[in-house]
Amino acid sequence: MTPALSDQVPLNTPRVRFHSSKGATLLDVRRAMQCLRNRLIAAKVSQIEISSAEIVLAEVLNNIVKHAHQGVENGWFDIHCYLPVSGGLFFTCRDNGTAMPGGAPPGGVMPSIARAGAELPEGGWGWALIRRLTTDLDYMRIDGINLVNFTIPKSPPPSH
Amino acid sequence: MDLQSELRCGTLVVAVEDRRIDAAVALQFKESMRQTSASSPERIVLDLGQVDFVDSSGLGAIVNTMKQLPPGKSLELAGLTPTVAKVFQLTRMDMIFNIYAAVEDAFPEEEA
Repeated sequence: MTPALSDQVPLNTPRVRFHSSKGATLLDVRRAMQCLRNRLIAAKVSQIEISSAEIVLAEVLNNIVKHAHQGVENGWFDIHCYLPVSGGLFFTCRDNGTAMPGGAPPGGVMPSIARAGAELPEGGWGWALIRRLTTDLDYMRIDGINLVNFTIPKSPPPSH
Repeated sequence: MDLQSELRCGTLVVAVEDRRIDAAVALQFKESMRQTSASSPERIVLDLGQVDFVDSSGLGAIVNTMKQLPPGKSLELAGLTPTVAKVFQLTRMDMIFNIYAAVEDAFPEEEA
C-alpha cells in the first residue's frame, strides 16, 4: 500500500500510529491529535516540531472528515508517523474518502489580509498552513485510498 | 464551549475555558461569542491563555466574531500560547488584532 515509504524512511525508525473508528468524526480528529501529541512528547520530539505537526495534522484530518468523507459511508483515516534518526517527522495519512479534486492537493496561497474589516478572510488557510510547515508533500491515490505523505522538517536549534 | 466573562474597568474580559478552538467547536464558539458580545461594553478582550490549540476553523471563528461586532465595539486578544501564536503569525492575523502577552497587559493604567 505504501510502496514509496521504504525508500524514504528506514523501517526500523520509531513509529506512532493512530487508526480512527469507522464513521470518523471531528472528535476522532481530536482523539488522533491527542494520541499523536502524547506519543511525540514521550519520544522527546521538540516542542516546535510537535506544534507544526499539530497544525498540519489538524488541517489534513479536518479536510478528510469534512470534505473527502462527504457521502462516504464508514469513513476512516489513519496516520503513521515515523521519527527518522536524522530528525524531523515523516507522516503518512490515509483515508477512504473521495479523491482530491484534480488529483492533486491545492496550492495553498495564504489568504490576503490587505482588505481589512468586512473583507477579512474567515478561512482558506488550511492548505497554505500545510504547505508552509511541510516539505516533500506528496499525494497518491491507490486502490481507492488517498495517501498523503509529508515531512515536518527538523527545526533549527533555538537561537539566542 | 465554556466562556467565562468578567467586567473589568469597563472592558469585558472573556476567558475561553477550553483547551482547543477547533473545527469540532468553531460554530459553538461563534454562537457563544455572538451572545456574549451582544450586550457587552465597547471593548472586549478575549483571554486565550488556557487555549493550547486553534486550527483554521477556530481562527475563522475568532475573525468572524470580530467582523460581527456592531460598529464601535472592538475585539482584542490576550495570552496566546505558543502554537496559537504560531497560527496567528503564519496567517498574518497577528497584524489584524491587538494582541497582549497577558490579560494584565490590556490594562496598563490599572494600579497593581
